[in-house]
Amino acid sequence: MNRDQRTDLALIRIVAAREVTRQLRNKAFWASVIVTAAMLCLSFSLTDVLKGDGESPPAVGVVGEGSTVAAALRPQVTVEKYTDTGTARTALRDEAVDAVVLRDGGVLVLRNLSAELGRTIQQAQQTAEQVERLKELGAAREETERAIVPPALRVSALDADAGVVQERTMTAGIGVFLLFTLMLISGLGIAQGVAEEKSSRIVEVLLAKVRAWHLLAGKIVGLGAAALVQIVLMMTAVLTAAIGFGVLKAPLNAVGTAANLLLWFVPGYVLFVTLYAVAGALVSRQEDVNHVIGPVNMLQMLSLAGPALAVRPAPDDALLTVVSMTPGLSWAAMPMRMAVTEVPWWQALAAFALMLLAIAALVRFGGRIYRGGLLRYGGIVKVGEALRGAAH
Amino acid sequence: MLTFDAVDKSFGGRRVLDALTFDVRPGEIFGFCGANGAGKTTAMRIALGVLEADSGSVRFNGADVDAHSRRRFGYMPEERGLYAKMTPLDQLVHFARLSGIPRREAARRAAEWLERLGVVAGPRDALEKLSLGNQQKVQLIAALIHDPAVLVLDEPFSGLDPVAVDAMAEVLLQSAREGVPVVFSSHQLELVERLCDRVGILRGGRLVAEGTVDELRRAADPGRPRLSVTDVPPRWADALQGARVLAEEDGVVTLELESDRAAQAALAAAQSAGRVESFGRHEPALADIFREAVA
Repeated sequence: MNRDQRTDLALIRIVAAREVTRQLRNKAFWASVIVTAAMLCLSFSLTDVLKGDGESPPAVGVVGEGSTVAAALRPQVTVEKYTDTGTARTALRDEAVDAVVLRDGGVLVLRNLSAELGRTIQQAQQTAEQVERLKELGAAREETERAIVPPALRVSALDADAGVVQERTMTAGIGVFLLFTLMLISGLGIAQGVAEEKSSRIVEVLLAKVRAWHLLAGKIVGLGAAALVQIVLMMTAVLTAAIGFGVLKAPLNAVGTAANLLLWFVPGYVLFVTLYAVAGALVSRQEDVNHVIGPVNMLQMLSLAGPALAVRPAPDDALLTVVSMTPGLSWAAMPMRMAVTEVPWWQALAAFALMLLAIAALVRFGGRIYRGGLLRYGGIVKVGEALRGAAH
Repeated sequence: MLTFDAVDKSFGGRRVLDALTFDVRPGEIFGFCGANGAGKTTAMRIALGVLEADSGSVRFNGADVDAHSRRRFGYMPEERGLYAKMTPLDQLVHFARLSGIPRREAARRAAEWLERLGVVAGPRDALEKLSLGNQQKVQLIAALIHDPAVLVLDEPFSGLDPVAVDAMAEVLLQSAREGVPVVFSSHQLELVERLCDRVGILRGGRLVAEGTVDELRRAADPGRPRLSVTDVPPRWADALQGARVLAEEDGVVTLELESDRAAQAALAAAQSAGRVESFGRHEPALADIFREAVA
């Protein structure tokens, strides 16, 4: 590395360091990390609580010692045995059990019996009758036990990975949403930062010391590093919560998906943030920022089309393939597609290469607009005017 | 030495600088004067690389100014530019680091300059909380903190109170004493006259007058002879040919004479009628020279 390159890097680092420090000292930055992570963790804990209530097996009381019905019920429900009907009634009133099977085969409930539990009790009573008949016929103990607890079904699933794919899809979906939001916040931040430097004329002092591309690169790197801190903190909190609450059955898969998403996010971030910076250089007053970032916002919204296409019932079609390989859209579409289905390696590689090429072209072209726009004042500078300005 | 050599610049067909040529020598303070829109700011921006010249060059010590040499320049733009939400110390350190000064040294220099120029601010006060005068001082420090080899200041005195003007003038003189070429633009011509070793007057992008203030005075129209006289009777001057009363205060009558012959006649009359206070040609102030040059 020669002296010029070292100087370039040092200048970019200094510009980036100011942006990072500014972000890390910003209370809103930390508030957004904490609030987003807390909301997602809360949603996982609520899911866990709701799932916990819904899936706990019902409890059935059985009156009488050594009841065969109790043995037949045990694989399906929680069984409580009672020696007398009075105790069983009390337990029913206390809602310790959902139903009680009496000695005479009658079923006692507090209000009503759910159809599913009714069927379970009915089947258990039929099994008990069959077992009693087998015993009368002198069947061996193993045979009666097999009648009570039948051997497990041998199940072969055509789509065995469905659960894992669902988890990957969920991870990618939440990740895309988080990164999209972060990109939006960072983009707005960079556009406002550029407009602030321009409107307050700091840019003239800066351009006397550094070149426009040093400023642009420093801002992208600095705000990118700050965004990365946000992303890593949020993702760590969210994944830890998801694993802790048992939302994820295959955590390694989810971590892999998150890492892949992050890999695709980096070039996507550079692309969009460059567009936001260029937009910021076109305004003379901070109040005008919202007018110029509109088209960039629209383009960014379009990048959500890929994830939406990927979660359809039959996602592997030509449209999704094209979208997931289009620069500007691929950062969200490709990792989502990769989470949902198998993607040929060459397509992933080509999409990444196309994205890098687009960034190179954008930084070159956008950098000229940025340079030309920075020192032109008076309302909103037209792109052509900024390009002409950069040529001077 | 900072050299502008035949620098041309046009904006959209309008020529702003027209073969602008001048030098600022080491240790010299060069005053850059001109009416609004004469091209002063454009010339300074070109020197700092903020704008590019259409043709011609700006050189420092004989070599074309490039990104490296520019990092040794100190620049104060006409429209002040600082980060409103940053503390003065933090932003001075930032600007110094962009000029290649290590962080610790930058912090030391910033603290020293803030104290030297008496910038009044709490350690956590953002720049926007400072008075305009103090903000201007911070802007000057941003131009000086890296010990620049050249100082280019666009209207450094505008908006300053007399005490701050003196403080800033002292800083410029000190820089010049250390051998730094200093060029500054100003509409405050009495300050230019007081501080500058040489002055350049710009009109329509061209330097129409350049030299020391004395040289400019000698080159300017020497003006008509003037005579001040006391102890003369009322309406004494009415009888004089080619004389016009400029002022009559506290018994002193000041006349402007339209020719040397009229001046000699008036002098003789004054000597016989009263007491001559002064007689000679009026020495034009820089403001008079400026008005004549840009007219």
